[in-house]
Amino acid sequence: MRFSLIRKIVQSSVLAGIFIVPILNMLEIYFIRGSFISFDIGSAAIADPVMMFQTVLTRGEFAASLFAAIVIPALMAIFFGRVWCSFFCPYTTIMEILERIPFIKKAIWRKKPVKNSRYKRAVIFLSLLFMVGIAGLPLLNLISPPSALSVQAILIIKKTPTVEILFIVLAIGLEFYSLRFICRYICPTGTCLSFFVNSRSLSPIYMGECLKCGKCAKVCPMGVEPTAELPSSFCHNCGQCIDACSDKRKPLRWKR
Amino acid sequence: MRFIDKVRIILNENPFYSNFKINRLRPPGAVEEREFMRLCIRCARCIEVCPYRSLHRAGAADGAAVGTPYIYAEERGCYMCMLCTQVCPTGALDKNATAMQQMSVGRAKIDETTCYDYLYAKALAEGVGGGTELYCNTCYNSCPLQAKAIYLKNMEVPVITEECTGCGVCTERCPTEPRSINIIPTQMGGNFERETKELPIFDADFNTDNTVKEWQ
Repeated sequence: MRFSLIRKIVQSSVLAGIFIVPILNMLEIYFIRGSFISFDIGSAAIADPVMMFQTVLTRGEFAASLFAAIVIPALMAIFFGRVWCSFFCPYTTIMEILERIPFIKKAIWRKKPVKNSRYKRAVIFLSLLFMVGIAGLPLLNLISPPSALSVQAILIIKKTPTVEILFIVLAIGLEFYSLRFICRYICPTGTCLSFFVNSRSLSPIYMGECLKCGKCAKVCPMGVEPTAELPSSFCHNCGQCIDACSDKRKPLRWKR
Repeated sequence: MRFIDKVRIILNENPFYSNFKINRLRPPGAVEEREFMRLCIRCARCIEVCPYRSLHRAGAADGAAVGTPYIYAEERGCYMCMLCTQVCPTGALDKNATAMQQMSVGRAKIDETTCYDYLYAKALAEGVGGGTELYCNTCYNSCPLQAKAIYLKNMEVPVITEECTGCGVCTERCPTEPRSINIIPTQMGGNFERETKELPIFDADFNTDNTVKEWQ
């Protein structure tokens, strides 16, 4: 329960932050600046790993400054798994807020994904990356919901939102077709981060021996079957399966 | 053009890299367009720091340039605070560009048939006026590189020199509609050669010493 409380606090402050940061910038406070594609906190540069892969392809050389910028996200993914998606991604936050409305929740969760395929996701990511290389245009961040949302938040504050906002509408629309479709298969940021996730990363684990009530599988937003598939590269450590488990023996717990 | 030539052009010259349009500029310190399109990651950081709201994000109508920053000189010129060059994460905007003279994204070009000043000078010379003449000088007065990038020839008509950086402030302020002073982007590839041939813009006889003399 404490985990989900921390998660909710971080989520809501990030969602507020993407609007507050551009306002602070307009007041000439430049401590935090940038969008989720690339931002600075003080002097620490942090960038989306997708951005580095793309610029290496399109410019044809390796830039040390970009590599330095992905150190923090990469280390975060190596140690804590894909906490980016569950703690920071504003798209997840928006979906979780929308799902507070009962009829939307019912419509979206009506049909849960049967089976995730990590190969499908990797093939989609690699072919997108290949297309970026051929065209010489680093466009992948346009189809990453957190990047698109934070960029649009800046533009909304600047009073000039662009049509890319339709991508977010499309992503939410696709939820009705398949739960977290963009997150599971398209989002290049999430796919990229899952490359860093390894067997030692933070993840819920299943100890075996439980009531087999199936509550954990019912709440998992990524369509993972916690009793069978953990650790999974689709798991983004939201901790909802652990919270939902009613077995006193705690068969689902955080890996130590 | 033969079909094979068309195929050759499409495959050899990336068609996404030509975005030439008068009065539409890249931010200051932008590298050459071909390189810029490769590097710009569309992160909107330059747009975020721009205190004058000069930078706009290209929409879906701009095709492959979607998401890149543009200055629309008619709407709002660039005031060259150089904040955007400092935040660009990929080097699409040159970090070393900190002074306005280092920036060169375009050149201004005056349309002598509609400029109030030129009409005024013409009316003075001929002794006949049409009623739209004005000793306006708005472009000269608004130029951040006054008397360097633009000077008043014979204290009468504004003339653009080689030092013009193409910031577009003159275009923003020009009172005529359509604008009599326009910015021709120099680094946007595409039709620049052709455009400059059609529109001769530079006064070849000019040098800086002259301006100071005329000015005093």
